[in-house]
Amino acid sequence: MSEILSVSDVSKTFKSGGRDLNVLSDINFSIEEGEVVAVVGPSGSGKTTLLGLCAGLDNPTSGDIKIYDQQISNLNENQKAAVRNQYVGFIFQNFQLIPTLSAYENVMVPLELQGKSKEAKVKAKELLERVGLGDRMTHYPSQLSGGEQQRVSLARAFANTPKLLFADEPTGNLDGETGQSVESLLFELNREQNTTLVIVTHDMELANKAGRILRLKSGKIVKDEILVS
Amino acid sequence: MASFDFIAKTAYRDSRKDIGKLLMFMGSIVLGIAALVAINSFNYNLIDDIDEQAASLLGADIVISENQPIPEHLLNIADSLPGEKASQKQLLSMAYLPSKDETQFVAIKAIEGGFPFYGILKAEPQSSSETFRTEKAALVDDGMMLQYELSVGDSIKLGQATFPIIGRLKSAFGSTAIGGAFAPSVYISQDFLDDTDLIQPGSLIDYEYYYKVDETIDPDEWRASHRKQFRDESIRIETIEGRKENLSEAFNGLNNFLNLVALVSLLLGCIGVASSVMIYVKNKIPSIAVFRCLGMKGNEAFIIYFLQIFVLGAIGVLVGAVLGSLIQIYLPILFRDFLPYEVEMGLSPRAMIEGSIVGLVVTTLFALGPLLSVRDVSPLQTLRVSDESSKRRWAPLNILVGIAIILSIFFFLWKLTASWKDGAVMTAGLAFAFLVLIGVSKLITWSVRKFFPRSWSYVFRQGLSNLYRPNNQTQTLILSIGLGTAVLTMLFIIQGLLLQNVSSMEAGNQPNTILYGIEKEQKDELAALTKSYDLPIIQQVPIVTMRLAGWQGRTKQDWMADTSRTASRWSINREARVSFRDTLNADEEIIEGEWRGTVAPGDSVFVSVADTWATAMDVGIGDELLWNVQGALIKTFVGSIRSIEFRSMNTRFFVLFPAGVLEQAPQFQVLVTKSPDATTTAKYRRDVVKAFPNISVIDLGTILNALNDVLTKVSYVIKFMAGFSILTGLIVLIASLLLSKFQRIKESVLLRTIGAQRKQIFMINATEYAVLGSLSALTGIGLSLIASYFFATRTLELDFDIQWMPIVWVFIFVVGLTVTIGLLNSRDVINKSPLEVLRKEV
Repeated sequence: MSEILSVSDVSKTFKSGGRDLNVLSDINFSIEEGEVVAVVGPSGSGKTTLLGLCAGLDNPTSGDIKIYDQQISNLNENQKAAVRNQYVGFIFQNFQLIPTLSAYENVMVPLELQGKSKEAKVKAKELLERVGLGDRMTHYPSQLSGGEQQRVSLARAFANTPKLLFADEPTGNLDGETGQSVESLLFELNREQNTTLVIVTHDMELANKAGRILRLKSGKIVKDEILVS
Repeated sequence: MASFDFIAKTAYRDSRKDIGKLLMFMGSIVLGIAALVAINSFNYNLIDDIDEQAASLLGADIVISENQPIPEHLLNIADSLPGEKASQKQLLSMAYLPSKDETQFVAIKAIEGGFPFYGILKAEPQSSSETFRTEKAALVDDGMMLQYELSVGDSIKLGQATFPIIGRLKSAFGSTAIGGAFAPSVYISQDFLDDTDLIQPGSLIDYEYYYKVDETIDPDEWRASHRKQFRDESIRIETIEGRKENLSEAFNGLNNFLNLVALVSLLLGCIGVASSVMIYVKNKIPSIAVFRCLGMKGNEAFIIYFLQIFVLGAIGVLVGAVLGSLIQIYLPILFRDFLPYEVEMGLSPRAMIEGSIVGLVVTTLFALGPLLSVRDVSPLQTLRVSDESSKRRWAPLNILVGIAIILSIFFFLWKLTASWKDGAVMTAGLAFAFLVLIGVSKLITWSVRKFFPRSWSYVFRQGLSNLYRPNNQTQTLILSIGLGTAVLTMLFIIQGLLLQNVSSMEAGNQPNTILYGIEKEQKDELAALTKSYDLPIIQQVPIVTMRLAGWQGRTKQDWMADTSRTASRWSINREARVSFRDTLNADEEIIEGEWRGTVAPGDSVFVSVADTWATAMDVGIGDELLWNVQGALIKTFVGSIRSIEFRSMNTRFFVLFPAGVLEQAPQFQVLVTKSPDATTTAKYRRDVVKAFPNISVIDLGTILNALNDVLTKVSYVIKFMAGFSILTGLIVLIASLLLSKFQRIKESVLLRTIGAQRKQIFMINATEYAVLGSLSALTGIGLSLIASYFFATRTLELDFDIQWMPIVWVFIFVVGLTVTIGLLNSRDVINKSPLEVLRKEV
């Protein structure tokens, strides 16, 4: 297996009230293709910041982040967008569906961005049926329940067959039962597509389903443990 | 790179649900463009009609005119033109209406020949327009006949001659209804003009000669080859082409005013566009962040929203162009009284195309400012919401858009004023207004923060803090409301100043009745008649007519041939009406030199000249002036220069001789008096006209009434046109407030949820809108005071003595409207349950 994500000596500092605030410091780890990694830690430990940096949504203050051999911290915004479109998928805690697009249109976006319109139609329909929303394709996000919205989000995340999928508290906004079903669906799809999955979560039950857990505290990795399934 | 097909599709998909939020954007464009197209269509139709109707407006191919008999040698040149000839002598005089025992100041038009050769004199019965030429009969203005309830068959006495009225004149040839209000037209045959005995030395007569030439003569070529010769004698030659140019020039002022109204509407519309797009983009940030997260490039996201705005803008522009074309059909009705002919209104494709292009360009430019920020939306906003709106405000592309906006306004104004300098000054003025308004909005947010009244109750503090908190609407609202208020207030100020200036002429001890054309031998008898009415003789002055024969040692002909001459042609050629006396009046003040009231026989004659005349003639103290006093040459020197209070109703003279020079010259007298009321004036006027039919009585009260009518009509037209600006401003106001609702609704709902009462939410919103409305209105009023001051004192030369009440009303109106619309917007939050509103809005 080859290395898909490599994080070396990464730190991130924000300016707050005229002072420097170190959110992350000396972060080092790498993830192999096909791994399922959970990033856990208390509130304010830097989990979401780390996810944003790894996905190329933000730049580190220092250090390097590579997706495959591509140094993403050196890329400009458009180049990073191209990398995200080609390799990366996202699932957000608050679903982040585009409210003005139907479920079907939301799922098509990643492939349409690659200019694959025909493929997008077929794949969006297939994925929505796969997540059990074949009959709600024309509905807008506001017409769907939270669980349904997150399932659309899952379908969208897998639409461009990403190599690396980032999930930020994917069940954080859902009730227990709905959360369970979304969780199962996420792992099923992940297995089917052999995607590398990085989950940021508070939920230790969810984290324990991953193959590896990175524990963050006060902006530092305090433990990197491999779980035996 | 995503395909254009996907970008276009996404633009369409994304706009479907949010189209309602852009209705105000569309409204701003529609009104701005409607004003522009309506006004341009009207202008173009006016110009087309000038082309079509110029021949019938002039009535002949060539017209030669002057306010004195045209010299024989020049008349012979014109009379040698092959074709038909006619002439008209026009003079202003009193008419007496025996059947009503009334008098009226009229314009007598004595015609000889078949004038007009093109077009007709509209009369009732139509046959009377021919019979008056051969009979001793008069065609009388229809408006005057209605006013005095005259009928065909009644008579009218002009000077010493009485004429039967044989027809009503339905349209005075080539003059406007407004002109007719001062002196209605009475047409008679020239054969009977002498019977009136009104042609006396000093009578104000316009001589016009009309020629209809055959095809061998090109009127414009003939004019070009004879122009200098005629012009040296101050005689005008006019042709149909020349009339077209003159008419076009005459309408330039009207066009400029209308175009300015269109510009203001368009600019207000543009502010509406910019603020609508800014809020629209802000609402779209979460979606844009998701698109960016999924791999969309910044420029692709920009194109999606640009396409939406561009297509909606284009639709708005088209709707505006159609609406403008429909509105312009009604403009001629509004301007009917100011136009010398009926304007045919049709669709003007040129105006529609021009308006659409201008509209699309400015709409796009103003939308581009806020749209460019789409490129900067970070995908990180999907994880954390932050305010990064000012990140690239000074990026090169943003600066470029700013420059493009300024240049487009400059080019528009350059085209409007046909002068790049005027265009630049007006652009700078507008930029200044914008900067002041932006500065004030910054000052307000800063001051509210700095001097925040912490001891006030919660609702007022919350309302005030809305002025500076994130997503505040302070700048947008101050700009739109402030600019709208400035336009409205300036309109009221200028209108008030004009009306006040007119009425001040009537006030106090100012004379209000002037009698002229008095012969020397009538002087004493008239004075006695005046005294019998207990009327004061404020002035009784002699007038001698003369012409300048030379100055500074050179003859007039010599000067006229000199191309380096600085004296104006008008001041050289005009017939001077000069008086003589040994003292100065109270409204005259010597500003240079010394006034010498008498001259001993054989001494040099020192005259006093008005400062304006001295400037126009480029003469100073000690310069020689040679006068031709009806054949006799008199050498004088400039002894003093006077300033004259021109709003005084006393007679004023550009040139004043001392006593002892002109006493024996042919002269007539002017008498100035003050009548206490209209009834006395009417009786006095009637008795004067009966006893001395050659004397004209000018009643200032009647003139002021007519002037008031004109100003009322003008102000009505101005108000109607300014209505475009105000309506657009209103749309902008509603748009801005409606959009601010989306900013405020969540927090208002939150406040309701945690227990705020309806009244408290109402007070919070009312405080915010009342402060915004008041400060915007005050800033707008301040700007309008500055602009009006310069316009009134520099352009109109009026005293800047304004009335404050209309301004107070504008202030109350603007603040009331802002608060009302603001509160209407908040009624959802106030009247419904928080959950219901949250479900609907979120």
